[in-house]
Amino acid sequence: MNERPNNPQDAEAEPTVRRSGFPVLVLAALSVVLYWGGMYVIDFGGDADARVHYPYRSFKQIDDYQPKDADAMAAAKGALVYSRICLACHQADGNGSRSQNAPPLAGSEWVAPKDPSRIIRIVLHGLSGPIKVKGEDWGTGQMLAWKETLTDEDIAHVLTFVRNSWGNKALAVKPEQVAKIRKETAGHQSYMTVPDLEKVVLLGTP
Amino acid sequence: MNVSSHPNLGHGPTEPPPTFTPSPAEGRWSAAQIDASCRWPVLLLFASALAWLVLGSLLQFIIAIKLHAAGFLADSPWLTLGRLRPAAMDCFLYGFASQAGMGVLLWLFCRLGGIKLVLHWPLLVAGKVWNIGVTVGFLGILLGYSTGFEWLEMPRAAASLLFLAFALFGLVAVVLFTLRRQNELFPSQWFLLAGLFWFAWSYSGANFLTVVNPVRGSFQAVVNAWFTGSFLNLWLAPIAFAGVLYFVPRLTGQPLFSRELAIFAFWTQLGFGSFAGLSSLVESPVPRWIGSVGTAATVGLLLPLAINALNWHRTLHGNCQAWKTDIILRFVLFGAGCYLLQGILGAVYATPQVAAIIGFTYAGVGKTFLTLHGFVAMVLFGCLYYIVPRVAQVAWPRPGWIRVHWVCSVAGVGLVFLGLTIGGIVQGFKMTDPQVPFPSVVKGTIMFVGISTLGVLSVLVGQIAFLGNFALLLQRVLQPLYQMVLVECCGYAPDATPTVAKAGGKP
Amino acid sequence: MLRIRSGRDPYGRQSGRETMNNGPLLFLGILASLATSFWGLLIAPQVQIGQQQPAVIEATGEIYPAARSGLARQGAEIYRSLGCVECHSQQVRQTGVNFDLWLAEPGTNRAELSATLTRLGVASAEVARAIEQAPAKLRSGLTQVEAQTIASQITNGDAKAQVVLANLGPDIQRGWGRRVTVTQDYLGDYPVQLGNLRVGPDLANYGARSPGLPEILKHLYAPQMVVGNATKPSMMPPYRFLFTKRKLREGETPTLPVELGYEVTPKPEAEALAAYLMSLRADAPLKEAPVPNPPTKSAPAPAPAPGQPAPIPAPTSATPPPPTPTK
Repeated sequence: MNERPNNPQDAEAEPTVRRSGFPVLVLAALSVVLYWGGMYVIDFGGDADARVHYPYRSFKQIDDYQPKDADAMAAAKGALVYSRICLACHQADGNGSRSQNAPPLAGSEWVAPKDPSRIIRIVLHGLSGPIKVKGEDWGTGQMLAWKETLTDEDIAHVLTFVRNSWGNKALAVKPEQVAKIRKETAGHQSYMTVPDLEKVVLLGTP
Repeated sequence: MNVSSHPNLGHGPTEPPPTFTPSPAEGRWSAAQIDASCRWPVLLLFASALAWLVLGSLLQFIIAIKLHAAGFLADSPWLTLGRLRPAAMDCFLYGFASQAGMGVLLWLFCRLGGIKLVLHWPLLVAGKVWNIGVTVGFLGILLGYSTGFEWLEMPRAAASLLFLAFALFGLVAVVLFTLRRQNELFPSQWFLLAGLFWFAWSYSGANFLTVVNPVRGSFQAVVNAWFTGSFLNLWLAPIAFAGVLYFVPRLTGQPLFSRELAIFAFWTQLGFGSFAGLSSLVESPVPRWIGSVGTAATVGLLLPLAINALNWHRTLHGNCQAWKTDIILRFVLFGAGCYLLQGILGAVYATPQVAAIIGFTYAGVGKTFLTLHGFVAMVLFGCLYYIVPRVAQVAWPRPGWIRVHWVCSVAGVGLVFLGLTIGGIVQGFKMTDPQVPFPSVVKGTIMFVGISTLGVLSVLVGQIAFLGNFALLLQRVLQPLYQMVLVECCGYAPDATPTVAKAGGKP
Repeated sequence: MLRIRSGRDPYGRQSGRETMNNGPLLFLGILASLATSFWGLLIAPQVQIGQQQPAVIEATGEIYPAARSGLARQGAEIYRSLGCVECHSQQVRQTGVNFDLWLAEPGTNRAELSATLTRLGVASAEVARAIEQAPAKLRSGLTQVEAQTIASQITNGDAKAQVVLANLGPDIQRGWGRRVTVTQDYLGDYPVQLGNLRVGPDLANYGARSPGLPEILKHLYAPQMVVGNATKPSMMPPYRFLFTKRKLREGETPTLPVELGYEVTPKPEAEALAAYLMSLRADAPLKEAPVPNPPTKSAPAPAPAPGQPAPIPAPTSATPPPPTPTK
């Protein structure tokens, strides 16, 4: 088998290569792959947001999934209503204002009892006449009635906010409770007064 | 079929293929002169590469046993599974694949450039330093100094040695490239050039960002995945591509089907290659876009895969005869087939739906084995079988052992791949079912790991046959030198007949 | 294959001049591929997560991740050195989320509540149990919208329903974690050992389910004594070289009863490794990886089970026990 010398490869020309012409189909395939890859990364790239990990698709989705308390959501909506309607008189800190004749809401015994029946009535129908809040007398001014302006939801939200802000701590107010009282007091034409309110028996009080 | 009589095993000239290219520039050296000039540096690289290869496979065999017999060799810290696995892997990657790849690169640059190998001393120094580096790294891992990063486990000292050696080697390779006397570049040269730069950059960059000046948190995992992807797709794969692109036309005597297709394969591989490594981070604790980019790029790698497949297939067209008669071509084509399979599997495994099942299972290990031992190693074996007898100017002493190597490798790669893939899929379905207790999941894989152990053993036997063949060849190369030294220095003239008689010996 | 040109180009140029034969141009192209990859994969993540800082957990005001103790940091080195990552991953995967519906407070109007629940398709026995044991889970596997719709129907007066996130996935059901692991969890780690093979269970959250120091040491010395049974033994190799042992003297009792007649003492390495394992936690409620917070009774929460380290305070301190870990 060794009749030939071991290294006679001077005849070994190097391999050559043909020219097949420009492969248009391959270019088309490349475009398809690049397009698909781009779409894939856009779809499943989590908006290139560093906080998005598999299996989440976007940060908005994660945000939606954050553990949330229904009451906290209601209070957050209520804060918007408060800043639109109530803030002018009762102030951002809830301490009210002498010059506007607006009693404080922070720590007020009218705001934060367990049963919100009276405070719902005040918001619906407004308040007129003297009232004692935190041992101080208020009484020359008037609070407007909001039953035409605010929906049951708005009132429930804003009361939930007020009853849980500035150190207040009380149960959330539900739109159903507002609706019920709105119905009961539908015939009440004028502003509420303290005697009107005191007729309302609060649940959970002796 | 008589393997040994085929000219490509070092016994005779091939027919010159029909030429479609302009005639070579003036001053090409002849193939024989080029081969002779490559002799010592290339043989040194190949000899150490094969030693590392067999050592790595031996460790793999121990690992495979340990995976179904937990208590086996458990009492010494340096033989614990967690140290053997990276040590065996790095033996293969840096000891064998990179080193053999460097030898193939030198030879191809010289042959395709029509130049003799120059700068032997720097190359021999680079080879020595590289092997010292691999040794230091190997021992470092066994002694517990692993860095803990996949494929970068070698401690800092070893990594520095490897980088220095490679820088020296790379300089020589670039000099060789610029000295070329053939204007027209063959596609293999593009891939080799790209691999040369990419390895230097990605190895130094990844070591810098993980070991020297580490980045924070799971960004380390991103750097690591970027490195493994680059190492595989832009260093080992390009070397193997260069081998396939060179040897398929060479061994079939046909010109490569299309230069334009090769151009596309080259640039798309370069574009998608490093991004594809990130697909291992799908569903991992890194920002989601990183894994998604990895998935898209791994699917993108199907493009160079399809182009390569087309180009190689058309080159082979109507050459079934060559497959039957030429064992070197079979090594190369088996490697090419494994490349196609692992590429398709890679794209499948990179989709989140599949990764959710086979992630963290043996299926991934099986795919890596297919890539490294089926694709990269088999193509390199083919290259070595062709190159070694030419640069050594000695024929393979045991042509029969090449067949043993072939059969054992094919059987072994098949067993390991099938065993671990099927086992991994079973494991994956059990793992995703929380009703199956975890010990049962692991227990269920043992039979498949057993199959893969047989496969690793088979691969090991084949590689020992290769190493033995190579050792005998080396002995024949060195014999005249010994005799010369003995005669010169000691005035002793040994009986020279045995080797000569053997050289013509029975097949 | 469409052929636009074949052979040499139409101008009969020597092919040696074209781009793909031009060394410097090829080099520039290769450099460009590196630059793209480098900017896209190394610089972009560096900007995003390379500068990440420890987060403050909103609910508790704690810094997360907290630094490990010195002993645990030494243990991390042992973990790296022994290559534990080859068999244990440290990442919890999650396949998705859905929502549970809990009855948080039955309120005072129980008749109305039970009528509502019955109308919503809850079996009558379930209704009684839920009202009795509230807070109790009513439904699971809902979408967020479904759950919120039902919750709004139940919530009436002082009866309250709550929508609770449920993280899904086999890892979570196996008790390996409460949520997917995210970048923030690994901020203090070096090297980060995410792992890619599970021959053993995931350890990202091992500290939360750790059985305590003696059990861990026992597990390291003789895994088969702790996990699995005769037919399905643990596949973990024993790490006896992390311990010293000597024969027991007459009348002595072993401090770590793992080998009959021997006193087995952990080396410092074993103790450090155990401290590291116990420090592995990835269950803090992060914004980017919410954890379920089921409603709690107003009554004081039950104390954590003995042997368990105090959990990182979650917004709700008494969560229902996670599904039994199947190790």
